[in-house]
Amino acid sequence: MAAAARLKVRNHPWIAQRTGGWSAPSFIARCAFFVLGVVAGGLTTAVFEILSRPAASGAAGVMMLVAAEWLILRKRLFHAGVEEALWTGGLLALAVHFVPSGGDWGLALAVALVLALAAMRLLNPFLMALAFAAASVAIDLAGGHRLWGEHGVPMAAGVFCYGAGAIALLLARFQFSRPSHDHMLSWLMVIMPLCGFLWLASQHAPAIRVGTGLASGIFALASLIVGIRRRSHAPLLACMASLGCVAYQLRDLTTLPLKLKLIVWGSAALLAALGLDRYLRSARRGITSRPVGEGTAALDLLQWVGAGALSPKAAPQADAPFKGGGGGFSGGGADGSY
Amino acid sequence: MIVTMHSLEMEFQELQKAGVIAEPDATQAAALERGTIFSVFEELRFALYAAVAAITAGIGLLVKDNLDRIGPITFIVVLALASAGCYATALRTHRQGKERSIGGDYLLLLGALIVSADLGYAESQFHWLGTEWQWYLLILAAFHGVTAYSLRSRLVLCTAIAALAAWFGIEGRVATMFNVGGSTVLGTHAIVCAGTLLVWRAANRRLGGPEYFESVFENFAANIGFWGALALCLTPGSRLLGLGLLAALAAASIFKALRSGEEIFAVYGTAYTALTLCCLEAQVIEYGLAVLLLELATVVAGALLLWSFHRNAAARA
Repeated sequence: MAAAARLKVRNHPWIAQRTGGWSAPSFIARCAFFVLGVVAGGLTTAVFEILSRPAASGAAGVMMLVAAEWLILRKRLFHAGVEEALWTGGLLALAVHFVPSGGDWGLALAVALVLALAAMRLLNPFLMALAFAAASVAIDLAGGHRLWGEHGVPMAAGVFCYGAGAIALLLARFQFSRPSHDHMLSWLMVIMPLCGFLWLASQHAPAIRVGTGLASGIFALASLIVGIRRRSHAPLLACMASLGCVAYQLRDLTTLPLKLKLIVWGSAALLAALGLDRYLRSARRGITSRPVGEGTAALDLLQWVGAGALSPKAAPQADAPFKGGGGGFSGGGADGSY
Repeated sequence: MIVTMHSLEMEFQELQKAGVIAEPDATQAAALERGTIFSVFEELRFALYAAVAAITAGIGLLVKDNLDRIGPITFIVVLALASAGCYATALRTHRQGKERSIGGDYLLLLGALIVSADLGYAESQFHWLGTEWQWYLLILAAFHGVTAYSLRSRLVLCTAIAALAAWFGIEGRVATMFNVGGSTVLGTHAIVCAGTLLVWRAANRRLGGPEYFESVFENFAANIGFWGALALCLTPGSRLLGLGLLAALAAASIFKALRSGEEIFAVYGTAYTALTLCCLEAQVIEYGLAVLLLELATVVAGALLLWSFHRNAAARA
């Protein structure tokens, strides 16, 4: 199924025969199904809230799990979105029902375990990354912190996240029997160093800033080397994310105002990317900047939306009055905010 | 030495033997899997977008602040020169008849965004259009539209559409959809904007414009149209109109999905409709078991409709 999905032939009859009736929609449809599944799960919980408040989350959890398993076993859904939302939502509802809440680390640990279990059952790398992020919250809470509004340094949580990212980077050299397990490691090596950085980014102590900058820098370098050696996209994305963290920690390197920093750093990144694009236009040791194979529709769509989002929505008007109503298709809905 | 992760090479060979894919596709897929070819196109695209976004944000902040120390003329000229530099690269590539690279595409986008900022700043300083200042957005849309067609750029076309949408007063903020009172105007403008985009698409097809522009028009028109219908549905005085438009848009989207096989339009037609109906039911019916069950039924129906489209597409294939 993974090979068929990569070559965009998942609907071919030969594939359908070979997969024994298992089917998976496209990425965009999967996202839509996931959203619909989340809404359906929320509504189910709300229905049980009205029917029986004390048992609501437990009953809703069981209901969602039964529905998800029915979709998987009977309807043979795999990575379809809706069964993932229901399975995860059901298990989370059960965790909320059975684990006493009180802001302590127990609930966070339960959520982490539930997400990990859901990730393994559904072979979903996103849920695995969320499980590790939840585990870092549990570690922080176990250390006596209260997430927000407390001045302690969440060092253990940060170190755990960086460590998880590094281990994922190391483990990715082994060959796994399922592409999903590779994807789990890929997501972890991208997300976890970012989480580690976010835990410590708000700390202003020079030692922590230098430490996180160095950790992100070392991780960026290591993942760049690994990405090039293994010809793998995930370590390269991890490298880019970590470079962003390094750039953030270097924000006080100059006394330039924010707008100039954005322009200077952005121009530097643009020039570097343009140089790389030019250098790799003809393949060097097999690496090229040209697209190979069919593009991804979801990424194209994202790119168009992103380009539209960067466009100014109106002129910076200081004294011109708002001319509303439009009338006769003359526009006039623009509000003058910039 | 290249250390591979899980390899699908065997599966590709099997697909080729079964005649599912052609030999060149199988060879290319296997080469990608082995790592003998490795494209960093998506990474570059991401890096270029981040760089352009950072520069545009910086310029936006510069424009927002009062630049009395530099003076408006100097600032406008500097921005114009910067954008001219970006356009010059694209023009040179175009004249040489070469295909523009991803870097060239984003450089052109940066040029277009700088022009947008420059024109906006100039208008705010000199008030050439007086109280009709919003027309600058239409001028900008026309300029970007001409550039997009001259240089065959989908990214610049996106900025043209964004400027046109801004002229119609569509800001792309979710909060404005739920702003009761102002939503009727916004919803109507969004529907008219979506209609304009469809007319533009028809003209593009009739006049022999690039075929790859069509999907840009269609996706923007669908999203803007559905947001307009949502805004109308959530405004007490225009619910019926909103519902009618929602039904028409959903039917058109699903019809397009069935005809062209593009799953994204089935997603628009079902997900937008189901979620809009849920919001409407929550607004119209008093909170209780009935409304929750109705909403649940709506969501399940939407999911089933989308799934049936998926099965239908698979069966037709």
